[in-house]
Amino acid sequence: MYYFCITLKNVEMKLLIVEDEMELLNATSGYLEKEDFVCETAPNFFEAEDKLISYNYDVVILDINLPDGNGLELLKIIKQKSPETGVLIVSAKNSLDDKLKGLDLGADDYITKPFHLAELNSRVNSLLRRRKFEGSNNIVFKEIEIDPVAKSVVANDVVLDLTKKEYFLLVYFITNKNRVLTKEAIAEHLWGDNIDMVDNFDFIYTHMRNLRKKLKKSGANDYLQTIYGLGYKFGE
Amino acid sequence: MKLFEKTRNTYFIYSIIIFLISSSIIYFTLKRIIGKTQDEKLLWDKELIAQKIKYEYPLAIFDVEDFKSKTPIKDTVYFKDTLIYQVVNSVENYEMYRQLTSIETLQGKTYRIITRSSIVRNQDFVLAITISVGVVIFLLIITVYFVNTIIMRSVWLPFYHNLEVLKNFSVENKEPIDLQNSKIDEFEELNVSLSKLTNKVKTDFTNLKEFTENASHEMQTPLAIMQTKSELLLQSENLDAEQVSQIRAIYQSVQRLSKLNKTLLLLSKIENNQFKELETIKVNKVIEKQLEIFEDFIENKNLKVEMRSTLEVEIQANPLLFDMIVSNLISNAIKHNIEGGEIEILTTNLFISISNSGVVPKTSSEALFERFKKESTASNSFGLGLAIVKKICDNYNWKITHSYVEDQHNMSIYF
Repeated sequence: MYYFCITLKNVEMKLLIVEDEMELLNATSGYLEKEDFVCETAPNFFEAEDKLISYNYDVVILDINLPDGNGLELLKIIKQKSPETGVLIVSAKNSLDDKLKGLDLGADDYITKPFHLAELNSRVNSLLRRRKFEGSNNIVFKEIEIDPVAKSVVANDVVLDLTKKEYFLLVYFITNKNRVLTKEAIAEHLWGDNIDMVDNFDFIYTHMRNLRKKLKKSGANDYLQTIYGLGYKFGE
Repeated sequence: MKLFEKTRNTYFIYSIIIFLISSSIIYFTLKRIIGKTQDEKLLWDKELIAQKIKYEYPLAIFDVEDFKSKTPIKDTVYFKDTLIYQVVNSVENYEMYRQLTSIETLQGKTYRIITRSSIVRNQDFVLAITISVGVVIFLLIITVYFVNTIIMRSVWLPFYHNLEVLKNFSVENKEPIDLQNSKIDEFEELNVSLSKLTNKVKTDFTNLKEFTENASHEMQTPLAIMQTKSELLLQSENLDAEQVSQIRAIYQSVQRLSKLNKTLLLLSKIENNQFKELETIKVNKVIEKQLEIFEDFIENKNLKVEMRSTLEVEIQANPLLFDMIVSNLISNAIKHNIEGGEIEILTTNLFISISNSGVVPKTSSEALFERFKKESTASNSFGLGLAIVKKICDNYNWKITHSYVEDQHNMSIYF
């Protein structure tokens, strides 16, 4: 069992991003490469099919609204050839039908455009944890260690008493470390898209402050930086 | 005035007028003709008598009297109506007679010849004929009246049916319009035109909707690009405060645009009835879940929340749509609340109601549910939340109302 407890840092995961909009494709692959993923891209159905047949990937980020062929077909191909590959569906339509069809066909998750890159990153990481390591992979950042199964956080061997939202915040930050995370992205991550409360982000500030306090109490360094006017950054 | 009544009444009035005129004409014409005939007979009789006198036939059959006259006599012939006293079967009466008096000189002597004939009999005759004809005409009028009514009703029935159909016409209705056929050419033509018209309207409407939906979908991708690019820009190390503020402004606008787009798409999906799946929903659970999601916001404003309900309330609806309703209502109750205010939620099998303390609303209760109507122009919301809630309620035939009483806003949905 110990053999499987490796952090994501030591194994480079291979991703295939299938997206017909070049700009979006570049932005996404650029961001994820910085997260130490090996990214390959396919701007259309045929190239994607080619690559899928020739290589194996750990995760495929699949836009199902491809102009030259339904992305769900690609999903079927993936499931046939390499069922251990995780699939994250990206769609412009918030269509329940597509969502259900995709999940029925074996996709792991579904995200709609437009999305926050940090959110996408977070979802890919969750997907990987669930699939590759049956969720038992601990997330480690310096002296902070998170057990995603038990949902517990330990820093300097001190167990932190975090609320649900504080826990999710911490996971989100560490997954997207050294990235500026906007208040909007954070709010959407914690509360989903139905929230219309874009005027007031004070409560995020409260959570951040509490999180900071608890981390400090356990002797961990203060990695949470406030980026004025935008949001926060976790890192050095 | 209705068509039936107008034509029928017009016909009727004219018929009566014609009836009266014809009856009068018949009466007077008959009277004249018969009068003339009578006068001619009297004249004829007088001539007979004159002939007899001239040719010396015995005059014994006539009453002959001498008559004296004070004034000089001239030859004249004149008619007059006169009353003659007579006794018939011991009944005394005066009867009207037509009398011809003729004074002429025959065989050297002056004779005054008087012939008479009873008018009464003729009058009766005229009246009888007039009445008979009158009755016939009258019967004709009545018959025409009723037959007309019957025919009109059956002929116009399809028209009125189709009128009702048109009244209930909704451009969003999927089925084609159901018009009743008629044997009348004009009505058939009307039906054909109406069908064509309504089909075209529906097609145009559908096309417009599809266009709007496609446009919204198309917008998602460029919006996604803008959002991700700005996010990447924000990661740059060497931005000065000015640049950060510019990028931030762009980023926030993109966020708003995305949200607006998503909401509009949602509205059109609801209209298209794309949330057909129904489930039995435990209302209280949904409310509790949403309250938990919003707990930060509630705490932030120091609000007190109280929820009361009679037993377990369950309804049939699409779970996603119902979540949206609850989420929107709670969100509004928080947003439009005062610092330290309260929220009270009441659920029963007949209705759910959410009350919150707050300031006097600027918009009327009905207008609140319109699209893009916002209470506070400062806020970042689009004013679509309640429009969505109303649309969902309309879908399920639930009634939603808002009232403001004693510093409390109240939103109630009746099932």
